[in-house]
Amino acid sequence: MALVTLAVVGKENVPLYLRDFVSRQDPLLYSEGGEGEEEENSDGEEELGDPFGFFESKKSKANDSSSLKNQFIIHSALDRFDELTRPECMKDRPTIGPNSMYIGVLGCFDELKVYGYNTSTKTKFMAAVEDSIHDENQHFVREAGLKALFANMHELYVEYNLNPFSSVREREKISSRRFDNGVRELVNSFNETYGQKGMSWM
Amino acid sequence: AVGTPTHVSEPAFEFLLHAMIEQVEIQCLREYNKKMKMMKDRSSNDSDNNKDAQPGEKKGEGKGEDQNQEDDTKEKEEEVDEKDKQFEQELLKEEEHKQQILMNENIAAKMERMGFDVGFRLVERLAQSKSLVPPTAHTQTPSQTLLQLEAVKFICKEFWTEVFRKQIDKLQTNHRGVFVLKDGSFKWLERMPSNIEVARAMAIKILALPCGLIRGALSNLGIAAVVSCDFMDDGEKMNSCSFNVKIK
Repeated sequence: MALVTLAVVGKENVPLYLRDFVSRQDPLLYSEGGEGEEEENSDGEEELGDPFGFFESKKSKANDSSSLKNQFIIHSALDRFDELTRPECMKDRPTIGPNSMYIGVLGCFDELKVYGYNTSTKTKFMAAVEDSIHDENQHFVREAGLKALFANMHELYVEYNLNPFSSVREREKISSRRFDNGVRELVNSFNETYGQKGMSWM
Repeated sequence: AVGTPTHVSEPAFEFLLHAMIEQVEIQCLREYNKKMKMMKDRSSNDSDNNKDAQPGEKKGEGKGEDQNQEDDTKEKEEEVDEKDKQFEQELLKEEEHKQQILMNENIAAKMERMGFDVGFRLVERLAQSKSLVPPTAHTQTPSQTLLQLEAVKFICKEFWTEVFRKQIDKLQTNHRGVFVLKDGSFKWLERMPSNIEVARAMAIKILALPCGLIRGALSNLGIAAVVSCDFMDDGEKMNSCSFNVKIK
C-alpha cells in the first residue's frame, strides 16, 4: 500500500530520476545491501550512509538511491509502457487534462504494481506501489490518489525544467533539492492516505 | 486583479533583445579581433623574413613568391616587396571580409542556440495540460505526418500566442515534412526601417532567436527539425517573415 519507488524516465528511455521510499514497516523487502538504512539517511545529508564513497557530495543523493531490484522492475515495466503509448492506442484515451496522460497499471511484479504516466513531451513517470495479498481491489481506490500524485509530480518536473540552469541535454539526471523535497512531500501524503494505516477505515 | 501587470511591455522586450544581441556581438567581435591579430602578426612576420632575403628560411604562406627573386638586384627586390605588400594587403582584406561574415553567422548561431534552450523549456510548461492527439485519432491510427502536423499546429497557436500574443498568420505544408510558418507582422521587427543594409543584417540576428524557439519546441515534442527564416516582402515592410521548418 505504500509507494515504494518512483522513476522519471526521459525520451529514449534515459533514466532521469530513480528513488526509493522505504516503508518503515517492511524492512524485510529491502534486506539487500543495507539500502534501506542508506535510504533513510540520504535525504540531503552528506556524511553518513556512504560506505563505498560512490556518491559525490555535490549531487543530491536522493536521486539514484533506488535498489537494483526496483530498478529492474521499473525497467521491465518500460516495455509495457511503450506498448501502451503507441499511436494505435491513442484513440482509447481521453484527450485533455491529466487523465489523458495517466496510463494506469503497467504490470505486477512480485508484490509491486507499477503505474505509468506519460507527458506530451514523452517524459515518463512511473510509480511502484506495494500490494498486499489480502485485498486485491485496493487498486481502484488508489487510482485517484495516484493521478493526483502524478499530476503534482509533473508540476514539479516542469518547474525543474523552467530553471535555466537545469540541463536540457537528454542524458543528465535531475539534481535539484527542491524537486527532491517536493517529491518526498507528495509521497508522504500519498502514503498517509493510502498506506496501511489509511486503509484501515475501508 | 486589475492593475497587476500580466505581460512584459513591447519596448522592454525589444530592449532586452537588443541588449542580448549587443553582448553576443561583443563576444564575437573579441574572437574576430583575436583572429585578425593572429593573422596580421603571422603575415608581418613573414614579410620581415622575406626582407632578410635568406633562401633557406622561408615560412611558406603561399604568398606567390618566387624564390629566385631574391637573387636579383636590390631595385627589383624593392619592387617585388611593394607588390608583395599589396598582395598581402589584398589577401588580408579578403580574409577580413570572410571573417566578418563568419562573425555575423556566429552571432546568429549563438542567438539561435539561446532560442533553442528557451523554446525547449517553454514547451514543457505549455504542453503540461495539453495532450497532442490529432482529432481523428478516435477513428483511425494517426500517421507520423499527422502527428507532426499536430505538433506544428500547437506551435502556431498556443506557443506563438504565449510568446508573441498573436498566432502565426499562415501555415503551409507539403505533407512531406516541410512546413512554412508565415507571420505578417512580426512583433520584434515592427520598428525596423526597410531598405537599409545594416537593418537587414540586424534583422537576421533578431530572427535567429525565434528560429531557435521553434526548433527547441519541436525538439521537446520529439521532432528533430531544421528551421530557417526568410523575409517575405523585400523592401517595403520589414516585419513580414516566414519560418521554414524542415523535419529531418
